[in-house]
Amino acid sequence: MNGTKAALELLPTGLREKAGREAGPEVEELRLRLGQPVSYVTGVSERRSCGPPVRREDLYLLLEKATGAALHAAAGALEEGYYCKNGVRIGVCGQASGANQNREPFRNITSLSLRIPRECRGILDGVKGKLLSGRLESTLILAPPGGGKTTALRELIRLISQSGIRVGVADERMELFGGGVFDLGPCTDVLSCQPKARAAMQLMRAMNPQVIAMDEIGGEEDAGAVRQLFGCGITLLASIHARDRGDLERRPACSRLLKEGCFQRLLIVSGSGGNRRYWVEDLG
Amino acid sequence: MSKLLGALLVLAGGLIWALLSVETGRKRMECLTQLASDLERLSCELDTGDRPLPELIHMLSENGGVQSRDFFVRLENSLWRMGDVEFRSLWREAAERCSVPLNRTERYALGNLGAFLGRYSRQRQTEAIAECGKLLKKSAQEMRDQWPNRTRLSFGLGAGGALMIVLALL
Repeated sequence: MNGTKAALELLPTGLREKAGREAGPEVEELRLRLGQPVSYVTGVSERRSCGPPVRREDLYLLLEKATGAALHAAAGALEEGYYCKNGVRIGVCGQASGANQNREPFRNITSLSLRIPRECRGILDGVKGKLLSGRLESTLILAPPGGGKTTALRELIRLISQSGIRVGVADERMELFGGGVFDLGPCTDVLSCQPKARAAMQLMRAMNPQVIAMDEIGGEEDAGAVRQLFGCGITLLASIHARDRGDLERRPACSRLLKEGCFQRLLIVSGSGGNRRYWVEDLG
Repeated sequence: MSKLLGALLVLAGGLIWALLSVETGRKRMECLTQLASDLERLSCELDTGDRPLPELIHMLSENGGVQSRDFFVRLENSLWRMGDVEFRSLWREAAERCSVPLNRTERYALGNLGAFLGRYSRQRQTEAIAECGKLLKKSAQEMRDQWPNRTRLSFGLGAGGALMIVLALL
């Protein structure tokens, strides 16, 4: 299933038909805002559909379909920022209920964003030689939010797995593998729906991976897992929100990881849409 | 001779009516108990697990009470419309159309329960299920308490009615 189709399938029929005609391949996100027509976000701009305005019911119908009428089960993921269905990242805005034990993360949902997942084969062709030749080094993928980190990580996992190396993927939100929607190569084992740090340790103990991949590391817990894996001699692939090395060094936890030598390479993604550029920086 | 035979037939008819009436009552009692227990299972699953509702409905449509299963089977068959039709509407539709013998109040309570499922917190969902289950259990308990009287009444009515018909015909 392609990413656009997966995202469109989550829309209620009335919106789906219109969006299906209007959303081109350049669209990276669908935005549904209460009282506004659907918007299509591309790498450079956001354009509005000429279809009907989104009703509150549409927002709930979409979430109901995506979560299998289990908003309570998705509450944890939504509190962390987003929920994933078939690789489509669903971001939610509305009236957050705060630290409520009763866990009703949003009372009045006012907008949703559906980020369309991509499986872009060949995007790393330009840097493949450097990344895969010789000894495989631990690599950290850098890009700002929506910059293509997950797509690059997915492609890197596939390339490594295809070369016969066992890759364990800690896919916390089922975004990398999309529950089988994306091809991550023949030698890949995926552990989903488990906090990244814990999943990585589980993979290491149970699956004997040569490489472990994690998307969007950030917190202290993730940094702890990276350190532990580094100490076990496992090659790491990870992605993080940052524009460049300077951004990374401004964050104490990341800066420490770099200083400790947990990563030997940075794969930096810049640009947007079809004009993304990839380059590799060796960390001396 | 033919009069005697006819009288016996009418009496037998009255008793069969009584038996059927008792059997229907027993079936309804069983049904209420099973539906309440299915809802309890649903509540437990919602409370302790993260399984989506379609999975739970599937589980109950396969392993739920034999008498109450029709509700979950109907609901499961309509789940393909989810995303275009609200889950609460699908639930209500199944409650209104299922062959489970419920009275008006029970059917309304069951249909209304769908409005709480899927969208709200676990606590609100399990509270709503408990409330509906309580109503069903109460109805079942009332039927159980009245069972001996109802059985006697059914047989009395069946036999008495038949006797009156026989006398009228003679």
